[in-house]
Amino acid sequence: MMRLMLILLMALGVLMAAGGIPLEDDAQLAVFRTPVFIGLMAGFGLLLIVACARYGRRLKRIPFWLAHFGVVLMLFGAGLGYRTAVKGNLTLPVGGWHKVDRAMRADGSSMDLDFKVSVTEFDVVFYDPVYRLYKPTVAEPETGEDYAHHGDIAPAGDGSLNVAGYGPVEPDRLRDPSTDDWLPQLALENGWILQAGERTPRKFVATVALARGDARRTEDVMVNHPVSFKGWRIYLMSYAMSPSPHVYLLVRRDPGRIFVIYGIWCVLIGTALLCWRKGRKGAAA
Amino acid sequence: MTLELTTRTLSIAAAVGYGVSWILSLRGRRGWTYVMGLAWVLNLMLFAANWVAAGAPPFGNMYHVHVVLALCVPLLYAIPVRREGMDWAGGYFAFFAALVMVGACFMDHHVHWRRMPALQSPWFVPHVFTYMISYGLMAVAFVMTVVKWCRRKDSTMHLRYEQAASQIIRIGFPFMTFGLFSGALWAEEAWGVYWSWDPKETWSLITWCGYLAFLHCRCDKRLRPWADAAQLVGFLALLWTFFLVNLMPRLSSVLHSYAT
Repeated sequence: MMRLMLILLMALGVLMAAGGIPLEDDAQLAVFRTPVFIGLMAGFGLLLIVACARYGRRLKRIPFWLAHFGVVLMLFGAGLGYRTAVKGNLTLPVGGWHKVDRAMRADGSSMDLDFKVSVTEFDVVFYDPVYRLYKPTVAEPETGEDYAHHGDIAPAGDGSLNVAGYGPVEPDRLRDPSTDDWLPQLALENGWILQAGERTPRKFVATVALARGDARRTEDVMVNHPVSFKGWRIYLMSYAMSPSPHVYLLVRRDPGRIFVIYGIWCVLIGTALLCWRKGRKGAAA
Repeated sequence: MTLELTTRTLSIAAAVGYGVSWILSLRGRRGWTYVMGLAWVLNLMLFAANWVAAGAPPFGNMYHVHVVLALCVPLLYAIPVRREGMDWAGGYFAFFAALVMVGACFMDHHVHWRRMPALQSPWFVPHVFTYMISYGLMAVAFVMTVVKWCRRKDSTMHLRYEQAASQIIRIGFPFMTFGLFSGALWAEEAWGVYWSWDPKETWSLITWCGYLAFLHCRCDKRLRPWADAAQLVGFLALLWTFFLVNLMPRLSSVLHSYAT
């Protein structure tokens, strides 16, 4: 049976390799939705169940059971999710006045949500900008082409910039006195130019108001910190500040999620126990 | 500029240290462990400098990851020594650490890396760290398998290298499993999907399947001749996952694009 399992694993590996060669239009991803691939996965799961049934139920075989049955649980959860999970995207303006109870599926169709959601507040915090140093390549530069890039400089802890060959640029010179924000560009006395690079967000937080019937909740949602509400998971995906601030949310309800999570933990624990249990000490010494 | 110069100097010094340690171990000189220890301290200082520059755990690009990988390798040597009494294998660990640090020397030292919100997760450090541990161990095991191929099939050395490689893979595989599946749990928290068949994900699953096949082949006497082939597939897929998917623009992974 192990031979059959390895043949299946090899066939899956070949199909995955075919799907793992990226093409520009992602056409290769179709491999993972073909009946052949799904059938092979199902066959793999079935073989694992047979292996578990054959292997016996003694206490010392728990690691084997955990590792193998964990994969079955994962495949079951993934299959359940593939068949029954619902997922949609929402684009919401910040302000709280716009309550939404419909989301857009990936195929462009809309779906009803059994709750209402609005974004009451949104906040984004940026890292300090990294300044790009430009030096003139000609005696009297006129256009941008007369400058060459000479490295990037990040502000020190006190907000100053240490420009090699020029010296420190004090923090108050880099800030706009009226807004206290970083200047997009600063020309130094020697003709060099410091230009702020694109700002990287450190974190962004949206406060969402959720309501279904009498149940109402207000929660902060961030990337990596989704919110659970009445069987739904709400994720903050991205944001845009123009023309007006709005955020992109993803809502998902997946009955298979819990099986996948338990399956993953079973596999992790089972694999560690199987591989790290005491073997023949000194076999390779 | 000073920080970049410091990181470059430390990279070169650590690479030279690991290289010297490897050569000394090949010649059977006793001092090689001290040299490896010194190189490791330099490597640790480089890691600390990267952390200070980035202001966050430095796992954000290929240069950072190479530094961490080299840092892990000498530490990993302690596991097979303790479990399997493989003190003779130290030179292979020193060789691999030197190879990785030489790679780091030639990479762009992005000292101003900023950790984007998607990377600000409790899964970030364990995911990358366990992957680096497993990659280090799998690489050392592969070098041992190559050495085994160069020995006569019926010799004691052949058997010794075969068992050593197998034991090292057994130690490394759970780390690889944790890296793979912690990535899935993290993706679910960040993007609401465990698995998106992104090229990096797909190739890391192929790598995992290769080593899974190796371990199963080792369990069954009739399948044992296929174990080397499975390891070769696993290791080639590992190289593809680690280097090509990140470095070749056409193969770029959308979800792992920050790791280039």
